Amino acid sequence: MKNLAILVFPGPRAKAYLNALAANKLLPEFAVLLQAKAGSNAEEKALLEKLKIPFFEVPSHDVNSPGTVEAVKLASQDFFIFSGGGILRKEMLSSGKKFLHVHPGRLPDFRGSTCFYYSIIAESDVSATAFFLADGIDKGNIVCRKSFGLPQTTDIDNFFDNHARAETLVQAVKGFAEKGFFAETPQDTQKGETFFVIHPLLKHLAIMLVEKNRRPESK
Amino acid sequence: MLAYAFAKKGWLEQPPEYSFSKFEGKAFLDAFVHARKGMIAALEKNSGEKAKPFRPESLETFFSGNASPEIFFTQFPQAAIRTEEALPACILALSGRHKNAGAAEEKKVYICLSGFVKSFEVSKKVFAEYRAGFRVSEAAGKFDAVEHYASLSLACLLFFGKSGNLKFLNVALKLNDFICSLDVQKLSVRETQLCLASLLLEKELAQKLFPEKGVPLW
Repeated sequence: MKNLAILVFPGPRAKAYLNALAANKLLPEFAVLLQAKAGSNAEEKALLEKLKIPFFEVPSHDVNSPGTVEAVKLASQDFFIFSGGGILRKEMLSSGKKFLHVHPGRLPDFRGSTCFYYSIIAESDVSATAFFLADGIDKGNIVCRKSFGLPQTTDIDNFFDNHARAETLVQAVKGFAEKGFFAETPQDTQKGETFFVIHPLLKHLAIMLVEKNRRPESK
Repeated sequence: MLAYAFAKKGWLEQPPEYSFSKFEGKAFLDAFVHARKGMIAALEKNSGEKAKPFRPESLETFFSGNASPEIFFTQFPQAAIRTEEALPACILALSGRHKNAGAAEEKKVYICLSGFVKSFEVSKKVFAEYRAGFRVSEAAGKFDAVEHYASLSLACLLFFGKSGNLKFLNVALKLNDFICSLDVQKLSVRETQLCLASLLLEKELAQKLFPEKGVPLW
């Protein structure tokens, strides 16, 4: 995919993104690969090699390190897929690139942390939103949203989160492939709520709701 | 029986890790209820009387003298926010004491409580004083007043009861975990009553929410 790169923060999310994009023939044309915070980035490196995506490896696990910022700036692509690793600071956000992030919640209604759980309780539904990172938590322009209904797995943190984000990313990149640009809609930043890490009691309520509503074939 | 792991002694010094908490099924719900019931019984014993069901009207006499929502919210946002004034003002406004409150005051209560919530979620502390924007004041050092934690919990539970906004129930559950980590013998009568009111209101709201969703609790 021309003009599209990915900032690979080693972990399951980056791998889910790359595999989903590969399955849809929407691979980015370049990658900046970070070091793993713990362990190694060997799996991500092998995946990039297997998918034949040229990459530059920075000697840091910090998405905001001067080396990472420099590598991103030097890339010829305007758009970077962000695969996590912390909050991007001003130096990175003002690098001249745009960072496409997928938030696990329907923006602008569900901002912040662990939004899947809150929306399961409040609306019996989960959505993810692809948007461009900007100053302020989850407040940048929206590219697309995807609704999933209630998850058919109780493994929200490790499996469903990555799966839903990857599917939403594919939808966003498909739009880019078709139109040649990302259609952006500004958010109503006065709307919605910013949530914080969910208490285990509410997390249990959400997962039990998922369990109760799972289709027999997915149990 | 599974032990409830989020209300251990020394909570303030080492708050529990809420991120990526494990799903433990019904055993977790039982452990939670068991721990809450135990604390409610201990607080009742400490107060010397069987607790009555929570009544918002009782808060009026409890907080009279601390603050007036009329005055506090007319001046809000102040350059310095004193917790001992702000939280009683929020509680009285939410408990119906300030019957003439309009939408503007309701919005201010939301903004004020949201400031406390954000600060607590980030630091796991309730400070005695904040600067504008709920930045922690250099003079705010004090963060061990049980009354502030119980008052914030009560205010958030009242707000959740009115709005259904889960952000406020969520933070109250964490604040009440802190309450459940306390040694009741060291609490004053006032602290005991406030902590008890907060746990009883949490129980009442949880008893409503969970069955509504088809998950029995308590």
